[in-house]
Amino acid sequence: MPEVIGRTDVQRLLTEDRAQVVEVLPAEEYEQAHIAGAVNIPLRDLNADSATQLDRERPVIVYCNDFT
Amino acid sequence: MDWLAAGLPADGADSAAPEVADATSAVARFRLDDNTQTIAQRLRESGEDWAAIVDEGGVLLGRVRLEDTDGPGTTAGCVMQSGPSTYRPNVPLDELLDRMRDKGFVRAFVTDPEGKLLGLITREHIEALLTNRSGIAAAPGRS
Repeated sequence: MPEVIGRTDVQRLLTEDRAQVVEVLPAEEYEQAHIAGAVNIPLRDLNADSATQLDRERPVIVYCNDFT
Repeated sequence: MDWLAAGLPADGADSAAPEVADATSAVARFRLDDNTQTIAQRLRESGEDWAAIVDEGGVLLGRVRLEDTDGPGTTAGCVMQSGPSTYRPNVPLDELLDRMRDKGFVRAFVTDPEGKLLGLITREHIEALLTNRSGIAAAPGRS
């Protein structure tokens, strides 16, 4: 189930569980700057096919802008 | 991006440009109830001019300059200047340098998006770093 987490949990998951980070921002924004090691699957391209590049055995962290 | 503003590892075109995080140094930290004479002694010993006043979570509350500690001993909270200007670690150094020159200030605190103190940045350090980098870029044999 998806769960909202903060930076501390992201760092913990990356270190302890070899989590995968997916940035769903547009490619232009990703190319400018992104979390180290993150892959880019823009939200409009996120589907079953594009998700096959992810390892189902490891946690997936999805990053997007948060305007709250 | 919140991640970048916290100074965490990043890749991408922007990550090659020097940022505030690259020139941030440690700064003396005290609590509101610390004595000003203790602060003065520490600053004199380290040759620093500013001390950061933080809460128990490391959130920046204000600053005490060495000159604020003159006079009879009191607590940091009594002489502290609240709400100093702060910058995020992902601000480009050249942008901050322009701002510092325009506004005429020579140092500033660096905090994360939650206000947690990361350190201090000085104009002198930025200028030295940028000069050094431009020298490297201009060196023969480098493109």
